[in-house]
Amino acid sequence: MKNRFDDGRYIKCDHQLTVSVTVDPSDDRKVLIEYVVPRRFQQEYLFVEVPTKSVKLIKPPKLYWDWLARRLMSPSQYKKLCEPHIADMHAQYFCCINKGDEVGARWAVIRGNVYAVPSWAWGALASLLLWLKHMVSH
Amino acid sequence: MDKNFAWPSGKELEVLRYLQSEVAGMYGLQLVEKSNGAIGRSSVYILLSRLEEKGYVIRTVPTAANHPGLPRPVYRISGLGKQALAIAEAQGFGFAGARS
Repeated sequence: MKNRFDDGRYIKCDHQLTVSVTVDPSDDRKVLIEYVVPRRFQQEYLFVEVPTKSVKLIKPPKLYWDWLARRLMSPSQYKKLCEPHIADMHAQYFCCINKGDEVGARWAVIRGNVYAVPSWAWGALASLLLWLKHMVSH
Repeated sequence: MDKNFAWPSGKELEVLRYLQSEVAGMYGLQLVEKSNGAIGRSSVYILLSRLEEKGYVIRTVPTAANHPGLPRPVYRISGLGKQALAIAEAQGFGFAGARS
């Protein structure tokens, strides 16, 4: 991730976001003392302050097979069954990130993805794979 | 009896029992933790959505989460849910064996 100081007033993050920052002018090392994140990004991204002179931009993790879940479920089913799992995944992910536990954060994403897909979908996938195996062998 | 009325199943009664102990409501994962594995993480939202359809549970989604990403829904027991739980306990329905 590119989170470099740019002329002491702005940090350029990836996704082309700019975050305005205030630095201590008396210090030659330009220590970051405050940064302001645009309000519309506050809900979508987590900005973690790194001890050196940058902030780190972290997007909430996505559901890998979100497109499949949206096709298999009705919108109301998706809202009731899938979205709470995604919300739990986001909560656990950012809790781990705030603690600096990157392994835990990755594990939260994996678990969230597994639980968000209903068990019958796993069954359908297994059946499809068995059927394909059967077709290939004959 | 009203045709639309559906009595909560054994697992659903168990969920109601846990929800009744928390007045402020609970997240799905809190419910899983509190049940000590009796309610699985993969089935908790299926049970809660069924209870919501039957009117035993109220789901509220905060407008903004205290973390980036989607806000987590909070589930609370409704008045009907409390009545159903009271009747089930008075009639001695076993939580694992109540009819669905």
